[in-house]
Parts: sequence; C-alpha cells; structure tokens
Amino acid sequence: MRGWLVHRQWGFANICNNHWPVGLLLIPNMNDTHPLTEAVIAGRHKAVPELVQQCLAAGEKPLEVIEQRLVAGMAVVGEKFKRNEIFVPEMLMSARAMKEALKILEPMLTASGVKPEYTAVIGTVQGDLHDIGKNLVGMMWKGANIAVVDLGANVPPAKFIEALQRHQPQLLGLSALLTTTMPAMRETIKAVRGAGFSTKIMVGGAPVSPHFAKEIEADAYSPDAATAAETALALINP
Amino acid sequence: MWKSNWAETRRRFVKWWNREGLLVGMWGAPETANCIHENVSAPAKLATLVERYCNGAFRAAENHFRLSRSIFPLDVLPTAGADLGPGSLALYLGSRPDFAEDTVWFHPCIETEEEPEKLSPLKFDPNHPWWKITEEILRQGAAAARGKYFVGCPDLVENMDVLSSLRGAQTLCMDMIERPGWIEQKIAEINEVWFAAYDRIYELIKLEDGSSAFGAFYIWGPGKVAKVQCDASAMFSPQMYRRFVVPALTKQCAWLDHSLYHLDGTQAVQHLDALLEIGPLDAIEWTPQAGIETGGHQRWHELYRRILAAGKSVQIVNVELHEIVPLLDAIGGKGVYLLIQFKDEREVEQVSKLVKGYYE
Repeated sequence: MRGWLVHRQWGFANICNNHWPVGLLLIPNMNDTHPLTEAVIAGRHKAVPELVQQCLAAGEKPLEVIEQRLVAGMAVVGEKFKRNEIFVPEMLMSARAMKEALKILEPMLTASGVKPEYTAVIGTVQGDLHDIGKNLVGMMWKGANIAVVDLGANVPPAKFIEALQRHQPQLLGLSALLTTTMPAMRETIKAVRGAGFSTKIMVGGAPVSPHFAKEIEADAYSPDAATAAETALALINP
Repeated sequence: MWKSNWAETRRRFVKWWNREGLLVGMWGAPETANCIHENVSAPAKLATLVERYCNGAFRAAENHFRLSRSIFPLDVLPTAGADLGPGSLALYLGSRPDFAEDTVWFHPCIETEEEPEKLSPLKFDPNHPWWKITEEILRQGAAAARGKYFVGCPDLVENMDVLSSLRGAQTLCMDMIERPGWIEQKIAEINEVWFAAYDRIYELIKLEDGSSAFGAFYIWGPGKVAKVQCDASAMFSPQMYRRFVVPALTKQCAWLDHSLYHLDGTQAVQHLDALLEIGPLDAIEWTPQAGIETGGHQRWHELYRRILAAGKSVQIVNVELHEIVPLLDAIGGKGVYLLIQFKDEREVEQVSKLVKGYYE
C-alpha cells in the first residue's frame, strides 16, 4: 500500500472471501501515482488497455489492479469534482477510462469466481428522460467496486421491483431531474416498500433535497455523483 | 389590445430595458370564470397530445379562449404561447420530439456518429416539417390575435443546449474535450440557424410598430427580443463556458434589440462573471432550482445587486408577497422585473399597494 492514504477503511476482511473489496476509497499520493491511476484521473482511455496489461504482466492480480489503480483513481476524480477542480466532461472521461480497464479485468474476475460484494440497481424514475446524473452516479459506484444494474431512464415502479427480485441488490438508486417527476420517486419508494423490499434506497437529482428525501422515506440523499459513492458505502456497510 | 393599461406597461418595459423602471408581471395571467374581452367558446379537445401541440388552429383557439377570460393588471402581458417545448430549434435540425403533458423531450439524432466532423453543416431548411408546423401555429395565432394580444416567439433555445439535444448530453460533454473545434463550428452553425428561424418568426409575430414579445419569461420590447440561455453550462467549467458559449451568446445579443439571459440553478452561477462581461446582453433572469429558496428570498439579494451593478436589468421569478418589500428595499426598483403568481384580483390589489413607492 505504499504511497496511498486510506481515506475510508471498510471491507478489508472481504478481500479474503472471494468478494471484491468495497469501501476502499483510496487517495493516492500524487507524487507516486501509478501510470494507470494517472490515466484514469486524466481520462486517457486509449492508454488504459496497455497499462492494464503492463500491470498484469508485472504480476499484479486483477483484483489488485482494480483496487489499487482504478478505485484509487476514481476516488481522486470524485475529490477533484467536489472541489470544482474538474467538471462533468472530465469526470465522464475518467469514467470511460475506468470502463476500458474493467472490460479486461471483469471477465478475469468472473472466471476466477470473484464477485463484487455489493450490488446496486439504479434508474431515473418514470416520466423523466434525463440520465447523465444517474450515469455519473452509476460510474462512481462502479468506481467504488459496487456492481451496478442500470435500468436506464423513464423506469416505472414495476420495473424497479422486477430488478430487485432478480438481482437482490443491497442498494437502490433513484434519480429525478424535474420537479414534475419527483412524485414518481415517492410512488416508486411506496411501491418498493409495498412489495416487501427493505433494500436501502438513495435518491438524488437537481430538484431533490435532503428534506424531500426524508419526506418520501428514502434512506439517503446524495447532492452529487462524487458524494454518491461515499454515501452508498456508508449506507450499505454502516 | 385586451390590456387596458398597455401604454403604461409599454413605457415601463422600455425603462426596464434601460435599467430604470420596475415591472410587476406574471408567468401567464390570472384567469376568471367568464369571458371578459370577447365571447369565445372553448375549442373542442383534440384526441391526441401530439395534435394538441401541433395543430395550429387548435393552438390559436385555445390561446384565444384562455386570454379572453384573463385579466392583465400591472405589467402582466397578454401573450399567446406558440412553443413546441423548450428548445424547438433542435427539431428543425433532426431531433425527434416526445410530447408529454408538461414538457417536450428531444431525442438525439447524431449521438452515435463516431466521426461527426464528416456530417453536413447544420442549416435552416424552410421546408422542414417541424418548421412548417411552427409556421402554421404562428400564422394561426397571429390571425386570431390581430392586435388584441401578443403571440410570443417560441422558445427556440440555442448554442450548447441545442447541440446537446442533437448529440446527447453525455456524448457532447466528451466532445468538449475530444473535439473542441467541432463544437465551436456547430455552435456557430446553430447561431446562424437561430437567426434564420428568428427572422421568419419575427415577421409573423411583430406588432405594427415593429416591437415583439418572447413567450418564455414574458418579455416584450421594441424590435427583436429574446430570452437566451445555456442550461448545459451547469455541467462544465467557466473556461469552457467562455470558449464555447460566450462568443455565440455575444453575437446573438448584439443581433437582437433586447436580450434576457435565463440563469438556471446554483451550478450555473459560476458563469455569472462571464455573462456580466457580455456588453450587448441587457438583462439576466435567475431561476433557483427546486428545493432551495425561491427567487424573492434574501439569499439572492447579493446576486441581484451584482447583476444591477454591472449595468444589467434583472428579472426575479416566483416572488412571494411577503418578500416584495424587503427585496425592493434591498436592491431598489430600477431595472427590476418581478414575476409573481397572482391567485386572484385581491392579490393584485395587495401587490399594487406593496410596490407603490417603487412603481412609477
């Protein structure tokens, strides 16, 4: 773990039990950053496949590459976003770089029986076609090693329930960008609880406030994608 | 004109654009139970939502019926809406609409193009089906209005917001880093399409004196008037805003006789300095996002002072009655346009008394 500062310490025990560790939002010491981590932070997606292969050739396990190179890179991206040092375009570029790496690494992990410990289902509620905020949150969750099932935009409550039955996630993320679609968030939560699911529910989107989240009995609210990863991990692994 | 005090409101609007007078208006107009200005029957409701949006005769009849039963006190404008959603310029450039009761969604048409540089330049086509529909809505609206009320210019929208409708917000964000030259080129082309569409619209809706109204945000002014915006700016940096948006906005504001910028949400406020430097921009409207303090709250007084100090007029939306006096005491009444959602005539009277000291 040389050169890394542990920002949050959850899930170390899980490294040994065939699960991807979660909650290790590591902030690298920038004077000693690995080229792959740098590529993720800078959003240089074309450089990523070769750098991943270099890591593997150097003897790093796929899990180590994810944990020590990618998750750490996305943690930096999140911090920079919170400090207004980068904005949505730069964040999307980083997420794309991370995705390039996961394309190589995920099949390797699956083949060896290693699965992410936590799963989240995410979607924009019915009547709302906005998806960029939801996509960013999904990417940040992936960047924190949570498996993400993205249902897309304009998702009716029944489709959320179907996904909860099928994937048994620990977390459900609901997004809405319009005041007119916020009631659909309330309806979705009502339907999910009515169907007997106690899955933790997190909400977000421009018009959504902590007050509204509480009112509709969501378990958590996140003001932005950068905070969403931390909030999710705290929620599912308190 | 169905607005009896139009001469006064007209004078006040001219003063407001010059950062002098106070305007007190409304998004829409208070409706009454009876026809006031003319006996008009309600139009038969059309079967589908698409028809209700796109049928010019229906739109004109619906507006005429509503306005015939509305009152226009203070500076409330009698305006017939002709919008095909917020951002209809994208329709003339290939975006596909999805009509909902309270909005229109615009689906991207060039999102998956891997080499968008190879696409033809964006051009205005006067024979485009969506332009023809717009033209018909405006023609029918103007024929019904005949000087009794305004037909507002539709909310065309411009620059990055239109490109986002064509390309998809996410792809566009990455284009800003990967192909900035292409973005600049498309923004310049969108501006030219906007000018071409606006010119045609203006010829259809202008009053005899050459003045015109813009539907969204209820503005009127001598000559060509429009609300301009870049809602997508909430996603990117001030540097990117200055590079991609400011040149096109500056050109647009200089081309128009009067312009109002719609500043949407706290994430867009980071661009205020750049906006205030745009000389030909006359006024700025501030919309706080839902879930936080509304436009009249004291939290925003300093924002309004900054705008006014830079020589721009300001429009303030959703002002509550109890906020009016503290707001005007804090920022003054020169170059200030309050939009208040009046429930009835009693509230209009209340507000008239509250603004008396500031309302010339």
